[in-house]
Amino acid sequence: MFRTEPTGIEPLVVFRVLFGTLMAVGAIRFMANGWIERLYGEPVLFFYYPGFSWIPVPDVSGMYLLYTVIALSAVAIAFGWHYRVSTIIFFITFSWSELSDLTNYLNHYWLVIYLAFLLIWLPAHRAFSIDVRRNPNLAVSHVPRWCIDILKIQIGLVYFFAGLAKLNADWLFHAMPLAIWLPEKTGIPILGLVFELKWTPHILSWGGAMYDLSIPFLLLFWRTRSMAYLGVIGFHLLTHVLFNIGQFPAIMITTTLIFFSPEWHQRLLSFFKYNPKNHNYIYKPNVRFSFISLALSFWILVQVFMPLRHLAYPGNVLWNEHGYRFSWRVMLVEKNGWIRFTVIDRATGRKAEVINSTYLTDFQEKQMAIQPDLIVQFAQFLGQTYRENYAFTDPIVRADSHVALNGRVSRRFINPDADLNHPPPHWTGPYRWVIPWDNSDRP
Amino acid sequence: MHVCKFNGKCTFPLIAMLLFSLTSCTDQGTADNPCQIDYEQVEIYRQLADAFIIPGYTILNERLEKLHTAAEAFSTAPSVQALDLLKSEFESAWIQWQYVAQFNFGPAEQVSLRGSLNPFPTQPALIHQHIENGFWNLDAPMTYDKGYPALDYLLYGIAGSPEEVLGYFVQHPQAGIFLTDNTNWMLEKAEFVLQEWQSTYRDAFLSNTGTAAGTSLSLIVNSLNEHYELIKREKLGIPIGIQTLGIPNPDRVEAPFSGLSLLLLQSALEASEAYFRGLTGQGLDDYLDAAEAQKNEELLSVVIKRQFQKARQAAGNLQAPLRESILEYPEDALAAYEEMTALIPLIKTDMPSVLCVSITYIDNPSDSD
Repeated sequence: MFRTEPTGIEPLVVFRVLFGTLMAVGAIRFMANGWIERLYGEPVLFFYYPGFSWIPVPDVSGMYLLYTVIALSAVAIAFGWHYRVSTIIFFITFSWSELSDLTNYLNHYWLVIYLAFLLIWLPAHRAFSIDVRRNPNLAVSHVPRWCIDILKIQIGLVYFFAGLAKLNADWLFHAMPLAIWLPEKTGIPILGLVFELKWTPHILSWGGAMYDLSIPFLLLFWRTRSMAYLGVIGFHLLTHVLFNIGQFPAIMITTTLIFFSPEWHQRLLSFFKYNPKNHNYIYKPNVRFSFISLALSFWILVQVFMPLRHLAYPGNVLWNEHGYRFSWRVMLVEKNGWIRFTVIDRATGRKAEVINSTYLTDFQEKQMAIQPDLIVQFAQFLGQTYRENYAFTDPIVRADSHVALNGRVSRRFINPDADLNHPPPHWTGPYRWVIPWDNSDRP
Repeated sequence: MHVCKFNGKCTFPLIAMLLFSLTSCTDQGTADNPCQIDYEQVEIYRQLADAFIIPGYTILNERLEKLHTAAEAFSTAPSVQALDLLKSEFESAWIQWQYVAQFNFGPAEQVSLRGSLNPFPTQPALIHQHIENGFWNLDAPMTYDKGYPALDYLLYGIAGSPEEVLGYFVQHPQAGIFLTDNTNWMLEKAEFVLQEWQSTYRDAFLSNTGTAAGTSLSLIVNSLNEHYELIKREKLGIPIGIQTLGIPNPDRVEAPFSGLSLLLLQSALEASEAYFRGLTGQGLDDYLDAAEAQKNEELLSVVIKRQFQKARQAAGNLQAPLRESILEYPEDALAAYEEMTALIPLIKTDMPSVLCVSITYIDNPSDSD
């Protein structure tokens, strides 16, 4: 499966330079937009990723420092300066910022984390880098094919599973949620006229699913590659115009260049005074290939397992969101929720209604109201708060919760009798506090 | 780079998709897109602007003018009769405010009309300080020393009986100036909003169709919801103690000194329902019907109207003054609060969802995907 024959290092080098540049721009943009104050300064509590509740969340100045380190390490990656250290620092700091508050989960941030992790192990600095200039012995002209293939596989899996996730009734037969989003964009010149048409959401839904499912294969073969790449540009420019998705289009447009041949990248680099070596220096990893092969297989297995794990849980993943993250479910739902918590003192029966905004920002409340695991996290926070601040004995936390999915009227989301402060274990089992989606479809 | 020829193998989904979308331009109207409801939004906008909003602000202006006149008369020649007249003008101006408070967008938002005219609970200590110092700044934002609640205190609470209130004003000429400054300032704000609506904003409002954030539909749905939640929480919830473990805060009612709180609450609920229904003309209920929105095999509009009725009925069962009755009959107050709350999922999640409008007073602070 993993091929060791040598191939030109250039695609990997271009990947490194573009990735580092984009990430540096991204970190600076994040700071310049004032998002550190809004996302880390305003909240008083932060939602954690399962298993990562111990992650300390830096304060605003700490976050500025963290993002500065992210930006600097990204620049170092782009230039190939102390590459191994830079990639490790980037991977840790970027992950840290993402793990700080689950509210801000974004699929493409996690793609960045995966790519950064892979880059740690890949010899992307062995040409066209400061490291090589400082130590010419490092220079190689070729790398084993798996070094490039693993990135292609990673990106291909993202597209493929994003396409697979679109194969659901709402997306295919009701054009949901595009039917909600496109009419909101009718103000865009020219394209706006197209978005007003009733068929447009249907065409874009099917087109989007077909695009995601086929693009990895079309990029793989040289016959279709150029057209496919034009498609990549067109598709992501469209998503850039339509949605508030920040750097994602740029990330995909640049990373998919990895599919092009080493010769193509050589020509690209020659504009920047890059001279391909005539001699053949082939990168040789200092671990045995059987070990590499095992590691790569394990990585891919995890990448395939994550998007499919929702199959192990009963119910509709669009509704209960169990196994929803890390699965490339992108732009799949328009959800709108309302939730009201009641905290009850088990000893006296005293009750208190919670004003969510006392503890959460509007954005956190909006995200929490539609995600069952965040609801439990918040309920447990409330339990603790009422125990400590109001002397409640072993508080019971109940929720009156309604969620509207993809243009439907709302349904009750959380079992109103469930004690969310003491939820049943749910690492492997279903979210038992969520009322299952019944399949009587629209309306 | 390999040049790709159109040889069948190159047919690329996106290209196909674009071609398909061009050819299908002529073929619209057959797809079921629940977000493109066959309904003239402008009918609602016209009804609301011409029958509810502009007349509402017009009446508010008339009443604030009368209030200001009465305040000046009382201030220059304090008497029991002048105070009585002033109080009755005050009462009708405050009730009228309940009908327009919810239109908190456009011109009203621009001058933060709601925060200016009706910030409560008012802070008596601050008002006394102003009167003693002879200095105040009504334009200072987020201060609780102005508008109707300040007048509520000045006219009813600053001393025990009406005679004593009169006595206070006679002894403190600055109080009269503070009073008329307030009424004048309130009138100016209201005048600005009415003039904007009459000159340019009405037409802008009528032509701003669509479902995106910032369209008139989105402004209506969002302002209705935002204000309804304020009614629920500020006018009843906090006084009955929902934030304080059920321990009531009777002083937090809207009009603790005049005892008008219940009437104001009931008026606000009536106004809210009228906003939803477009009075007797085209309103959000008709829009929901055009979208054929159903909930539990009933028209959503019917479910919402029924819940409005239940909430208003439960609020109608309460006794005035609210400040005392929430202590005397806490179950009734809680029941009213629950009925009011039960409406929120209907108008805040169901309605925006089926009309494909997003709740915009919560925005994304960063990217999404």
